[in-house]
Amino acid sequence: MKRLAKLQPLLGWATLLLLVAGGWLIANAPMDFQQGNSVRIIYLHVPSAKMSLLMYLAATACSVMYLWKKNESMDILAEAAVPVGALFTAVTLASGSIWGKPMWGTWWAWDARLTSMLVLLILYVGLMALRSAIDNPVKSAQATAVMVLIGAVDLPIIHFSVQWWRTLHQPASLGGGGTPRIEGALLTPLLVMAVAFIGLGGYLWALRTRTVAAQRQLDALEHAEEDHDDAHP
Amino acid sequence: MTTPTLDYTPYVLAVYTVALVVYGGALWSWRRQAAQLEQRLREHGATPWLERNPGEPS
Repeated sequence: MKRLAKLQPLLGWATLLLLVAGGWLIANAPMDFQQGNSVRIIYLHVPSAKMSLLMYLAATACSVMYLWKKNESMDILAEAAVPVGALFTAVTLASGSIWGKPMWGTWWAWDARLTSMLVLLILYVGLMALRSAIDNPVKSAQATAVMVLIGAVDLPIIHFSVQWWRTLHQPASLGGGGTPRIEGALLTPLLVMAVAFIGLGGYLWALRTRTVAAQRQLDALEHAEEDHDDAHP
Repeated sequence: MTTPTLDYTPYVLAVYTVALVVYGGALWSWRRQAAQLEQRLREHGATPWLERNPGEPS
């Protein structure tokens, strides 16, 4: 874990560098012949969407490990991944909605992709609420881990929604299988931003992990001190 | 070939502003929170979990 603490600043600087490079590429990218300048929203929307799914996948993997090995570190990592994922999902929905207004003529549509992303946000918020609603830390961790696993059903629904149903949302820009459907000049900034967002997600996750771990340590210390005071008044 | 005639720059600016506020705000607030909690731990004489060597007691 000490290695993670040392890697965090390095990850932060690398991410910042990639974000600056991505910003420069976005500013200089050509306009799309149909979307005009609005295509620049995609450079932020798509990486945010990918990260919102990746963070849930990370929480799922950590929850499985926690339920299997009963290792508290895995529960800390799962707890830390949830608000980071919620953040990415909220930005995905907001940016998609702002993009939708000029492109589709509406801020929102109850389309399969949009609705399943909204379900993901509700899941993230629900997971945070569930964890804080149960006082017993072990029961809280177990209940949340089980809920994460149940909610993971939403991930394939989100990913395949544009193939399974006739949706307003266009097919996957990246990672949809086959070659990307985007022209090279527009694809480069998207790829740079996708890598930058993996760094941003990792950095935010590490930061939340530090917070969750420190909060648990403090709670344990304060409990121990209270017990000591009760035993030796 | 269609020449772009529509300029949706306000929407683009709105998206990047939202992202800057959300991601920047989270980064700032979580960094501050982590630093404060770790400081409180050190005041208790404890080493934060992420700074501990493997096997080192809390």
